[in-house]
Amino acid sequence: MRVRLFVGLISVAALLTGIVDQSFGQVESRSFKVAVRTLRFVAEPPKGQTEVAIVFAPSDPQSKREAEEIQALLGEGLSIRGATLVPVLVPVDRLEALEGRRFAFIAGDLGEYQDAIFAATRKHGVLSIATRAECVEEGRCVMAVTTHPRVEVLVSRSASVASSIEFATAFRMLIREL
Amino acid sequence: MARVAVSVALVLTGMGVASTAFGQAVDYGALEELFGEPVTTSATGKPQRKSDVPVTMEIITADDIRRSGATDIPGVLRHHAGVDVWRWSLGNADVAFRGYNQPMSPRILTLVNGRQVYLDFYGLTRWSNVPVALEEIRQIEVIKGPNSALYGFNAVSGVINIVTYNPLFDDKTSLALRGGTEQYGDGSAVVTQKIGDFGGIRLSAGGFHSDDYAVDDQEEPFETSPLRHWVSVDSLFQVADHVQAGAELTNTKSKQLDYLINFEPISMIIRTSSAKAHVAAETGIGLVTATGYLNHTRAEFAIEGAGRAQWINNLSVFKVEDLFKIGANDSFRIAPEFRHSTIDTAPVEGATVSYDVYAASAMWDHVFSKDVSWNNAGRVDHLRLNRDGEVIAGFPFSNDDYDEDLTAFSFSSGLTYKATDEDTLRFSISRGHLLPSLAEFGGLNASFTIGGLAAGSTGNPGLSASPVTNYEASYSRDVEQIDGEAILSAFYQKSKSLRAFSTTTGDFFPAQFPVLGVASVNEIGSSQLFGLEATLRGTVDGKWTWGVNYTYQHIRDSFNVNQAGAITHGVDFEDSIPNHKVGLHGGYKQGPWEADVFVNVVSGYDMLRLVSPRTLTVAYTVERIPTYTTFSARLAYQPVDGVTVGVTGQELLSHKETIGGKVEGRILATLDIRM
Repeated sequence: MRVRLFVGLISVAALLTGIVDQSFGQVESRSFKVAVRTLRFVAEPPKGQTEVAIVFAPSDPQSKREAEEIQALLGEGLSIRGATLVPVLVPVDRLEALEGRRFAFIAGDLGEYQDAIFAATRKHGVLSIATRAECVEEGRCVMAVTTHPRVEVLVSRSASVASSIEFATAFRMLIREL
Repeated sequence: MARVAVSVALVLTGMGVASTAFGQAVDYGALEELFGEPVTTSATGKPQRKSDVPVTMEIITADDIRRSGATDIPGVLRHHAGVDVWRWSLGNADVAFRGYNQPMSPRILTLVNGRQVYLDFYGLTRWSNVPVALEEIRQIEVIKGPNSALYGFNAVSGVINIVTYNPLFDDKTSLALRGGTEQYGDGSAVVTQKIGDFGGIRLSAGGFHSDDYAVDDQEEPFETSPLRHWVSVDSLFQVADHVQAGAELTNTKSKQLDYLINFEPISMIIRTSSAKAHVAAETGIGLVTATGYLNHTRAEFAIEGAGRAQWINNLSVFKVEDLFKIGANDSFRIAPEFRHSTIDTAPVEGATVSYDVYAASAMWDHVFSKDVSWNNAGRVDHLRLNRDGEVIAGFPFSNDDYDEDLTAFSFSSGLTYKATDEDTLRFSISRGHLLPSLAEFGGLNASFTIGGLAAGSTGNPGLSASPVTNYEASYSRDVEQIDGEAILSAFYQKSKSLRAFSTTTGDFFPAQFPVLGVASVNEIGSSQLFGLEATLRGTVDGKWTWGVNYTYQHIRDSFNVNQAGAITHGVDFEDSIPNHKVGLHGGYKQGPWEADVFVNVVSGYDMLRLVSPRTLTVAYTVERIPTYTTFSARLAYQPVDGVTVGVTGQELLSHKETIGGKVEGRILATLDIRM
């Protein structure tokens, strides 16, 4: 089995210490699937054909690679119950493209862009799914997923409230809200 | 109730239809898929992953059920630590957790999707009247220890919540047929019909018949070929973006050789029917669920020398629950509930005993950190007893004596500490209450003669609920080396105000009865339990599965009856508990083949036998049940996707578990088609 990471796939220990294993570099399909499945438990889940933004920094090779991998996993359109998720790449210098979209993957460690990205996702009510858990811990992304040692869905309560994102009550009781 | 009815009506008329399904209620399948482990609401009322619950519980999955080869629920349960099964006859088994088993065992509250299938009239779960096919069960949730803080009365030794597939989310259709030795035959069909994206209806029906085990002379007058059949319709609809509504109808009939609580054999036919409606809505104040249901039970039985009689029991329950979260770390559940239960007296008819229960419960779950959480719950049940109708001349209780109130406070508190990624510690204390059954309150209303002299037996409206308090610590560890887990639990439990029915006439109210007296139910004392449970299970190469569990349990009774060598009351928990039990499981799955073997070794125990019922010299003798071994095996082959043929050997080692018939082995051929 390939040791891959859906970015944001870091151990709980790593979360506590803020250490991200730099050897992780690829989007892990299991974590990606978990992230996609969580969309069912958003108060307004995706319906029909839904464009999902993938925010990335073209100048950052890691971010670009992760974005391409997420795009590949979504393919021409990933069908989930009641919806088909279609990827749309959104460079960090074109964040206005988030308008009208409700879900966005944040590819890579976009440190210098996080404020701008958070401002945009908050403004447009976009559920941001980080590939780095730190983004959630810092309250700038709404959600991240880890799968080791067990599946954990991390949600920033402050970021979700700021972005007007609500989750089903039952789901909220099963995740880790920060 | 009106709100429920309106919502159901909207569903049935196709109004208020949402275009997609959004799961406000717990979508077990989706959440299990997401988190990689079963999810439950049965432990605390809050949705939780199995690894996060603060109590000792087992979640028996659909795979576990299939591979057990069992044909009924007691057969599935018996392989787990802490579960005691007494199989009296083929159709009749009593299940208890951690001792205190008895005929018509009253201490486990059994539910199907949250609806009580525990029968209030006598205080028992009659497994043959549980209206589900094994093939439609998603998971059986087994919570050991009192849980009255969530469920109210009778959840004292534990709770079994049978969760079926959801007709809105799970498209399950199946046909199962089994036939074998001893004229055994059973079948069940489950059909799910989806209605667009907004609804689903599941119909299940089935039944079984068989020759029973050979019986002895005492049982012979009551021997019967057991049978069971049922039909159930369950539905769930997405009536609006954030609102789901559903309805369920069931009907069952079973006939089997039973044993009453005084160890007296009896042939009983029980018919049940139920209607349930529920609405769940995601609102600004949380997930609000309203549920109402009606259970109707008719139990027909033969009285030696007195013809047939019947108890009719009607239970209606209405409850509302609000589940909400404040901030990131605090979850709450508040739930008022009302129930009304009534029984027509028998065998002497002409009166009705009933009670109303007004209850309110609250739960608070606090997450201190990712490693530590604390769950607390409390519930108050206030019961008002009533009796209307004729009173047999000379009987000790008038209708006014039934104007009794009873209030019980139940609670639970559980701390979960994840010491490492692999190790979890749980500490809990909980208290529940065992309510007297309607028969014990007064549904039993018998007048007969002994040697030509008048006598009688009746319930007792002065009974209180029996409090059961449980202290428990458990440790579980995910063990990478065996690709499995280890679980160790230690518990201490105290039960007070336990009850027993005196079969010695004249014991209680001789002055008020013209000749001999009226026997009744009285409180007899307390009892203490100490025990350990250990489970180790794992997998090898993804093909082999194995498990071993061990249970040690010890009970000490403190009764004010059955002293000086004379056993006049049918209770002896101390000696009727198997002190040791070992369970073994080995399984193999490769391609289309599945093979499983289950072995249980249960140490010997004593059981009472009633001699000369309804005479002047009523007494019990003690019969030893020797240590026994159960052995079951299953071999299955899947020639094409969705079709499984197999051979199951059940109870292949003949043995006795009770004073009833010897448990006899059966070889079954099985066909299972799933679409």
